[in-house]
Amino acid sequence: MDSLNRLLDGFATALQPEYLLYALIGVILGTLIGVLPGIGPAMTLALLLPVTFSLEPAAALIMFAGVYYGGMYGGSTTSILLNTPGESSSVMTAIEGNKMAKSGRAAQALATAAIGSFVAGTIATTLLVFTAPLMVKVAVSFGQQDYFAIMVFAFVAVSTVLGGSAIRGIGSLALGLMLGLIGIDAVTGQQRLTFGIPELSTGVDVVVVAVGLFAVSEALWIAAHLRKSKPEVIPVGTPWMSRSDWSRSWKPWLRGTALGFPFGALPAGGAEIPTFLSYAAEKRLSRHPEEFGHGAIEGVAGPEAANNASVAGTLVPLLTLGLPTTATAAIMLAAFQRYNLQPGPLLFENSPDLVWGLLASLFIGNTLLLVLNLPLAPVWAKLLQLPRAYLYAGILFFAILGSYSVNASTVDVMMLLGVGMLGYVMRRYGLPVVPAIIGVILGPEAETRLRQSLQISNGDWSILWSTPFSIGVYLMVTAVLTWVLVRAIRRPSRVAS
Amino acid sequence: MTTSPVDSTVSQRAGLSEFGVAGLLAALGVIVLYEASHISKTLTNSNPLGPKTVPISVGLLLLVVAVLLALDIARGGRGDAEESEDADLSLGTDWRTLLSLVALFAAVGQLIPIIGFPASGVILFFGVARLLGSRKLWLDVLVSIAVPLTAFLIFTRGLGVYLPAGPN
Repeated sequence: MDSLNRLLDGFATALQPEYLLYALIGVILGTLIGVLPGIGPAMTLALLLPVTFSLEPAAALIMFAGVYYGGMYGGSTTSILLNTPGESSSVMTAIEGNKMAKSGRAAQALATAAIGSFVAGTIATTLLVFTAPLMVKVAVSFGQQDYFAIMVFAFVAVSTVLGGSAIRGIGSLALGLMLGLIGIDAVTGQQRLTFGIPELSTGVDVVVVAVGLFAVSEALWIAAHLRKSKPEVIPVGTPWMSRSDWSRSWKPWLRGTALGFPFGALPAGGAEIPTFLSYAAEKRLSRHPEEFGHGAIEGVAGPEAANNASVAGTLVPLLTLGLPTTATAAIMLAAFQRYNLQPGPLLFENSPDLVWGLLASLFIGNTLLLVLNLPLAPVWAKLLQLPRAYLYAGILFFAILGSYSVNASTVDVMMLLGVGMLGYVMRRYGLPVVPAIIGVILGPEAETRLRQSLQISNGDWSILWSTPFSIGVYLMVTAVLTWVLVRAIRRPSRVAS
Repeated sequence: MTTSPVDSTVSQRAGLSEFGVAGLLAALGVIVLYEASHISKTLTNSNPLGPKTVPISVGLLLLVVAVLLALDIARGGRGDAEESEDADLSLGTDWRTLLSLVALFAAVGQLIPIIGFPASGVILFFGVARLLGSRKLWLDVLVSIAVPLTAFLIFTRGLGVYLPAGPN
């Protein structure tokens, strides 16, 4: 019941007119950017991070929560109407959703996605409200070695489980860890990997890395392969659903939520696996399996719900342990760090207003999204016709604006270009981007934890596996690595025929 | 992947360039190791793990990954190029557009402190739009001026973000 009272306090914070306005602006901006083709939720967040720089922490985080949900919703609109999943988690939505749209059922596809996201988001945020305090109770007893262990697990899981090729995932992680090393060592004040460039001593800003890997590399990638013909956009009216659409949608929503939340909460996280599982489950359970592949509404309802529920799930490790498991969560963590807020058990103790205000604003953002976007869907759909030349010119412009405004430094713009070119190579050769982002943001954290553990033990390495929890985590790490190794020995990443 | 003769030569060439990624990772690994070895030992012995250990580990990780990746490629493993609705991968890489874009980006980065953010933004926007094939001159000019200026005003006046206005 304690959670409930605190949540009510949170609503009292978040419902103040000023914060409500920030939530509204966040949702609108998030949808506006997120609906643009090729821009997924992570790029939306990275591009909009600078918008919140001048706000106070609570306002910034509330607005950011709105951007997060808006970006997710925008992404599903694009998937359905244009068949461009901005992120791997929208791939499943695009399969059936775009088929529905092509057969004239765009309005129903958008409606089941929007309402399903609302239902899933609301249930999953409720679960978050009640699981987070439990998780905090557990996390309070964690030592440095436990944190280090769980970060190692996150590194291994994020780079090997997702995507087709484990070795390319680990390569991406290594690149991220390398970028994270640049700057002054926090413990000794030594310059590391700065090559004598003074601007590098403060390290590479996460905004620069995220915007470079997502936005700049995307623009370069498209520029090198721009499709000459115009993509086909399906016009749409106001989303609505018939009685039979409702009765076919509500169960997939609930099942999608049940899959999405726990998978999101695991440090192997991300929405890719639960959306895939949800799609497979709906296909098996459907009374109209023959419609799958031709626009089955269950195939949109389930994965969309799973996608949104997993977002709330990823907030459990992010808020209670400071552990980001997806690119979007990593950028959220960067937003916290800008205000010198370290998510973790202490955040719940020291800034309860902020945490519970943020949780309450997730409910508010979710509701605003539904109220706004059902009637506005035709307007958003028009954005899909934006000429590609202007779209990518705009992306690059805002990318430079965002990274320049971090430190007002030209070096950051050059770093942005460098990271963008690295991202281009990664896109070309199938290295996933997410492990690199996680490596940049979590690498320095993990190093700090490691060194503090060894300081406590006076250099005795066995402290790292001195608790039951850390032993359990390392056993899981070993299990994942063994599985990856067996898989790799059996066959290379993808045999070219 | 189909087995037409054109495709297989393309994929063979792509296969060779895949080794470039392994080479890049190895090169970065060597640079990290070299830089790490030049981090001086600290005088204070308060921490058993100095500033060198983790960089050396990351450098070694990069080298190991490079070797494993090369093995994977040698066994026929391929990284999939990312697909997108706006990208047509069948045409190969448009190097001219790509390199012009990189050059434009770098030049604009240098121009910001000299001519200010709004003017640099206009040059960038217009340049990218033209490079990506927009050919409606007046509309291009209009949009390239309107978008950066509006954004500049919103960010500096509305959001209080600092951006240089122009030469003083």
